[in-house]
Amino acid sequence: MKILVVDDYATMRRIVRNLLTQIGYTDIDEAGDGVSALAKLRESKFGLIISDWNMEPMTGLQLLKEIRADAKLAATPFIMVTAESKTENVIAAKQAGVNNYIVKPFNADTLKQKIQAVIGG
Amino acid sequence: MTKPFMAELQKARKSGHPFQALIEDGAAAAAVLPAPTQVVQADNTEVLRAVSDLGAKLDRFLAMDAAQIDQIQVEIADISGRIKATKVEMAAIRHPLAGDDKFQQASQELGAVVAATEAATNTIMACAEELEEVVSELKSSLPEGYHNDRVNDMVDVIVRIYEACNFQDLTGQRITKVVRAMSFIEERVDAMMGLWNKREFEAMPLPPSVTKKDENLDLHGPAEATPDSGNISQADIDALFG
Repeated sequence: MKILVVDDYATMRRIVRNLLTQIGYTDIDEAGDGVSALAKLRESKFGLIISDWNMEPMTGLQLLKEIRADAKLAATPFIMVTAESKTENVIAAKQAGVNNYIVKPFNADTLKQKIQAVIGG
Repeated sequence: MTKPFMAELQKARKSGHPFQALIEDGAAAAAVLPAPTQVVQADNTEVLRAVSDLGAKLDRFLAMDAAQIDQIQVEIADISGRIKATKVEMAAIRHPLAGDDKFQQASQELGAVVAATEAATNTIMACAEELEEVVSELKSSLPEGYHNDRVNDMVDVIVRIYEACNFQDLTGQRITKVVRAMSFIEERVDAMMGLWNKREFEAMPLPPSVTKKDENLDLHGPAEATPDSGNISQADIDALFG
């Protein structure tokens, strides 16, 4: 399964990539913001998107809404990994169609559990 | 003098030298008066000269200072504008009715940075110490040769981790200095605002929020999941997702 990691902070992308490798996922691509993520999603098929929220110029929430509004991408599982933990933010993300939500900081076990909860297995 | 006082004044003003004109008119009027029955001998030359000098000074003051008064009025208006602008800026920093205290907020955020980097550094150090123990065991169990040399390389790497962890102490100290400087600025702003009426600042517009927004949602960034903070824990989020 190919995973797209979206975060504007390169160190965070590296951390997520390393953790994914540790838990057994090696087919990983990265994007630094929502716009380039959308471009990559339209170029090739991904089985999962793991995205930060607070990014420029397109936020994670906007990316999620774009994906859910695109018939070809709408079914792609989406996990939000963010420092935003306000109840209304989590609810807004859920209403926009996020499959799961991880608050930073997180560990490999949490990431593994959420991925399994979203894609099964 | 034989003419009404207001008429004298109007004539004097028209001449451009009001005080001098009055003196000259007075002298002319005196010339047509009947001679006194008893002659009084008195030398009033000095007095008349002094009065004349005073009149000339008064004329100069009335003619020349009008432009200066205009200039002073312009400068006062400018100073008034600058004071008002300064007050608006002070209100933007510390508005009495603002819900959030920017100084306190910034201090708390910096305090959280120090705590988080300290915790992360402690974890890194603890992991490196564990690695050191393992490496030490391996080293004592291996014979001299390639593998033993590689274990020694690992020790060098662990030392570099320890060295890199010094950053926390340095950043912690720098942030503490920033917090102190902010506290100093806060005190000075409070002192400046104390010189003015607090109600003046209350009437000024509230400063714009510095919180980032996405649609109508505030993006606060990292925060503690305490009951009154409005933030929820990962467990609560999990419950929302069933």
